[in-house]
Amino acid sequence: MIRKVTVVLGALCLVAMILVTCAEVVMRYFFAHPIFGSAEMTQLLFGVLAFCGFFAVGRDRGHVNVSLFEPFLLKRFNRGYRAIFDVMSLIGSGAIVGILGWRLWDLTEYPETTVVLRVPMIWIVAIMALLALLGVVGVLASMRDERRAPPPHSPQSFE
Amino acid sequence: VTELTFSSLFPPNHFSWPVFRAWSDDIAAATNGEVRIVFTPQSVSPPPGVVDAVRNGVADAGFIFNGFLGQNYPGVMLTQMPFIDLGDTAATSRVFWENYQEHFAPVERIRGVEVVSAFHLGPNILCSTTDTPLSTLEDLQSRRVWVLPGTISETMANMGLAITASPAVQVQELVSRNTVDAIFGLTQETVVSFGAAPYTKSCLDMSPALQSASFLVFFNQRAFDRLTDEQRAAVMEYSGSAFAERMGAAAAEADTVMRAQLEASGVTYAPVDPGILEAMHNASDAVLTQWAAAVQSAYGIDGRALVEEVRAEIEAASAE
Amino acid sequence: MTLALTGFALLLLLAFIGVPLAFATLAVGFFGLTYLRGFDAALAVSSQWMVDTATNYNLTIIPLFVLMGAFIHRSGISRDLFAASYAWMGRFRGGLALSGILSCAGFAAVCGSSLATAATMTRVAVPTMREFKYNDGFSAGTIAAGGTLGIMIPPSVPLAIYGIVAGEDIAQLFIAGILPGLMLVGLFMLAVVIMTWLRPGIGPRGEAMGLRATLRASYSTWPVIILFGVILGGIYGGIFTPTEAAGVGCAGAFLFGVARGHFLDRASLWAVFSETVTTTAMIFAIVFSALILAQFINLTGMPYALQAAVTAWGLGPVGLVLLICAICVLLGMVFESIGILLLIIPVFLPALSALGVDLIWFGILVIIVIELGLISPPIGMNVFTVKSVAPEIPLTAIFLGVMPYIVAMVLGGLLILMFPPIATFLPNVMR
Ligand code: NA
Ligand code: NA
Repeated sequence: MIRKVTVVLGALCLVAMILVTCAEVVMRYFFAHPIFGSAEMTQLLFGVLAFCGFFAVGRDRGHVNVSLFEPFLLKRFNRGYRAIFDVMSLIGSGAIVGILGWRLWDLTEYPETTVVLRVPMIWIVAIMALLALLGVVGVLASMRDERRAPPPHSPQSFE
Repeated sequence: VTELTFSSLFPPNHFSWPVFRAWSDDIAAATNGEVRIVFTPQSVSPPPGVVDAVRNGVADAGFIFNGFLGQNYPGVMLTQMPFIDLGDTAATSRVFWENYQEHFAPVERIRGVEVVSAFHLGPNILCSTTDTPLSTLEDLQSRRVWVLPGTISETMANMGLAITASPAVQVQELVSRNTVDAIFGLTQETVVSFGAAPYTKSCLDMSPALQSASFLVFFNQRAFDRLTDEQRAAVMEYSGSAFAERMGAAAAEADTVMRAQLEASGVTYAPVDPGILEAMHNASDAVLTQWAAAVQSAYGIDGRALVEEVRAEIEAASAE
Repeated sequence: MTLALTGFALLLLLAFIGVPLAFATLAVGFFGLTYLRGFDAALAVSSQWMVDTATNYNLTIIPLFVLMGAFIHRSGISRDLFAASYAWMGRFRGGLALSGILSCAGFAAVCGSSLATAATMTRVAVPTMREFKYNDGFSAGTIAAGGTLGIMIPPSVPLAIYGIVAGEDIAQLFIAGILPGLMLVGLFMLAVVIMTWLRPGIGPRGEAMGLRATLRASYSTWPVIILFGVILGGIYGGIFTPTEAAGVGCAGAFLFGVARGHFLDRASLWAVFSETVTTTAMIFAIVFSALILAQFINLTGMPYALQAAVTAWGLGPVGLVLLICAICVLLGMVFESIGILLLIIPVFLPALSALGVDLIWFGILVIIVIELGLISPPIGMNVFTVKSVAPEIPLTAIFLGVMPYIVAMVLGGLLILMFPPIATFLPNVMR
């Protein structure tokens, strides 16, 4: 359910980014009138998109790790090795929420807006913090699952 | 020995470095080496976040483009108001600092930092990045123009032009992709250092300039308060007007050098067309009105009268 | 310098005991900053760079290229590419391997990731190669190496990230990748020719096709040619920014997919978007963590110390570049590619610019070194990817199979080092 919502939100951001960039190109070349602040719109959409996947990544234990000693560690220290991954994912995701939360609190005292469109940053950061919080939920859910069906660690990467 | 970390946004070969170093050396000498200002290899924060970073002690000092502060602290925009810069950057820098100090510093407390000086870069120029120079208002109206957010973007928006406003660091990408065909918001020097020079074909001379960029220099409040009275006096002796004047002079010289370089590479200069100028004057008045209302409501200061006064002061100082 | 090095040592330790890379990096950066400047300062730096990274215009290119790759990957174009390459190359000894490399290059022209390139082409090429009695390690190694072309031939996600970290124009970097990419294709094909000449048994000759059949097979690759042309032509001709090219490319890739009957159902759209959203989060977590770590390194003053050391040792630009490449090769054995870029570049950037190193040229060299890391043992992401798609082939066989290509890559790197115009000629013409 949370996965569905976050991925759909991310997909909407992506589609909006594509539409804004394509519309900008069309407006610029065929109507000689660029869309005011289109680059910043794309930036803000990316800001939301960047955090949309945190739930799914946390839930799938998908954060990239270095698997050099993994076969060895899995054999010798299976539970400890898994615990390190889980606990550090939890602390790390929690830290991201904490850091964003601190910025949010700071923004209530020292408000900021974006440079071009003058969008209040507090809203953007609030959405980011909320999505990052769902990342923590994802990690917790994966830890609860862990006992029932321990998924194999496999080398993860995106590149 | 107190070491104070200073975060600079400018790249290593920038003209500002000798000025910052000389400033730091002077302060060290005046405090018998007790206060040393050391520079970080790179900026500790994104350009809009320097005040936040210094307030929280990431670095002990830094400077910021005032456009990023203008929303919350309108006073800093004093000399970014339309047509105030007559081309003498050292004079503009100093007059800005002195007037900011006199009129706004007592009422406009930027929390967590101690403002010690200010400076201006040279006048921002309007240039064509196509082979056709901008000779009439109709020419300008047919262009897609990159503009610096703030006074310039607001004026150009009021003129009904097709503008793209973004931070100056993005300008090279925009001009090199032909995304825009005119730029307005860079100095002679930044046209070169931000990589727009190869695409710049012709520019308009305009005095007074529609706008030039101003910056504040500041220390973390706690770090500044920890200094002894003598040390603070030594810092202030070389900051304030002295620093403003020095940096302004260096900016002016860099502009002169870069203009020669641009001309040598074929960029042509022409006086601005009266039609363009008139349209700009008309469109820019709303910017001043809005700002005057902001400083009136925030501090009870008559912004229009102050701008007139500052303009006259800059004129007198430039004539010296 | 000591402090920064301690930080790096700690980071390696954390990474090796299984802490996710992003969080290991974040922890070292955050606690390093706390140690240097206090807790508030660490919070300020972290939150500023986290939010700034999340709203960085240049980074918006990453999810767009990932999405485009996901569309392309599922639109069945890889089969056509392989068939077209085979029509031309099948008649030669090692023809299927040559076709594999060529089709990897074609796929690379529309996909910014080497893993996606390797995974896609493995599915198409490896079963055919096995059918024709190709040596298993040779087949899988060929595709693992061919997949690395994905990040040299533009578009390229790591090249874009390099551009962001180094402050270089992404458009110029993409243009700069074209010639070195083609050179690598040539070197890889040369490696195939030499290998099959030494051991003809590993890659027997295939059937020759008539001109007509060859042309018919080639014709089906037009979507790739059009997409590549629009993206690169658009960037090169100054029609749009790389980000806009990525946006337009996404729309194009989607439409091609639809024209071929894909992406009309919810399941396939879900797969595409879910992949893109999670990949973006994974990349983004590492990117902002690395930028926070970079601020710690910045505040330790290590870049100045390095600059002084480089001057003191009289290394000179080439010496420094070689030193960095050596470090990257070592890290590349175990680290993931974007991690290397983000850890190494900020540290050396001030010294590199002080010595006047051309950062476009350097970027291309770094990409070659990263490609090397993707196939070098013990951790070679591309090799693992091929293995996961073709699980019946032993890992050691694949690592052996990539050896000739490692030699070819090193040769390519040396050529670019000795003849910088290979990388800088095209972008200089564009300027
Ligand atoms: Na590619
Ligand atoms: Na490796």
